[in-house]
Amino acid sequence: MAPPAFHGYRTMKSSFLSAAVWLCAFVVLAGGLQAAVAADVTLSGGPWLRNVSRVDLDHGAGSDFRSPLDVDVLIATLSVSNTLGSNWSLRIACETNEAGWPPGLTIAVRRSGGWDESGLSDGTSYRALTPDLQTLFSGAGDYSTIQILMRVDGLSARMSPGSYELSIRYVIETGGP
Amino acid sequence: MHIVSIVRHKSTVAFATAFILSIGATAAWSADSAVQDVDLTVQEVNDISVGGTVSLALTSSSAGQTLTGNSSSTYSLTSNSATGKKITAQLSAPLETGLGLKVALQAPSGGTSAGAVALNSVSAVDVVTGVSAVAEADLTIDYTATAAPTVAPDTYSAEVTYTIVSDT
Repeated sequence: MAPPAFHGYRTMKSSFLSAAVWLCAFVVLAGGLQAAVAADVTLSGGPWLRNVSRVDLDHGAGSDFRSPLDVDVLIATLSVSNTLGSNWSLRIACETNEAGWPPGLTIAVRRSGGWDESGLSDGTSYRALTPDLQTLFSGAGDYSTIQILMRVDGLSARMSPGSYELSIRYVIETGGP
Repeated sequence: MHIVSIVRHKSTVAFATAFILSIGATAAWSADSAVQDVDLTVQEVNDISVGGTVSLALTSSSAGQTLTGNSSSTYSLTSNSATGKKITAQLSAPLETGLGLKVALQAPSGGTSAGAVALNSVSAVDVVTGVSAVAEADLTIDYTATAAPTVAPDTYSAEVTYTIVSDT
């Protein structure tokens, strides 16, 4: 009966050793992977403020506000860093107080397509912001100067005077399951 | 027993592999974000414009009768006011004695015209009420001028000022 007990102990010890080795491998691999894909997106440009008045009427009294109200306005410069050459996607969404945001008033953004942005895919056509994240453009590696342009459409005299606020969220996602 | 031992090893290896792959896959996805505020401040706009100079030739069907003349012009307005507005009209100076001037403005959508209203220089009179959130062009203004038979033949000028004010 002694040999089987001995073999059982050896088997158990071997299993524990195996598990320990794999656990160490997991810690090293998972940590390494996480460090490799933790890209950052940094925004410069601050809040964008726009005062709309009678000078923004399309052609004076009797006309509505110009539409687009603004187009190709540089509102931000994004920097994507710490990608270690990985592929990434830049996704956008807006956050508004829906009760206060007039229906029909849309904010759209695109990237400028300048020479600093060579190698990026998509994103040079305007895309209207929605509460749901959507991919604006994608790329690989670090970029220091990605210019974001904005377009405002749909402002109307039927919309009450006041302050309309929204936040644009830029999310950089790397890798994926 | 050896066979059992090998099976256990395989289980351990399979478990560890699956564990690493699944957790490793999760760790491979990462996101960072930045937020930018956009603030659009819309001022209250109440803008009105009228057509060019209007000329009225006053005539009478018979001698000794009041002379009358009519002409039309247009006006355009934009208002994004959240509260009701009205349009008033006022002469900048009194008319010559014996002269009279009335205006009738077509109301924009949602507004109400006061019809033909006699103007004076003392106070502004309401010509359209109930104006809100509108942008309309080329609405008509009808002018009617009168002159008593005693008014000397001549060219007389009058300046009418139209103003958008609060309708309270």
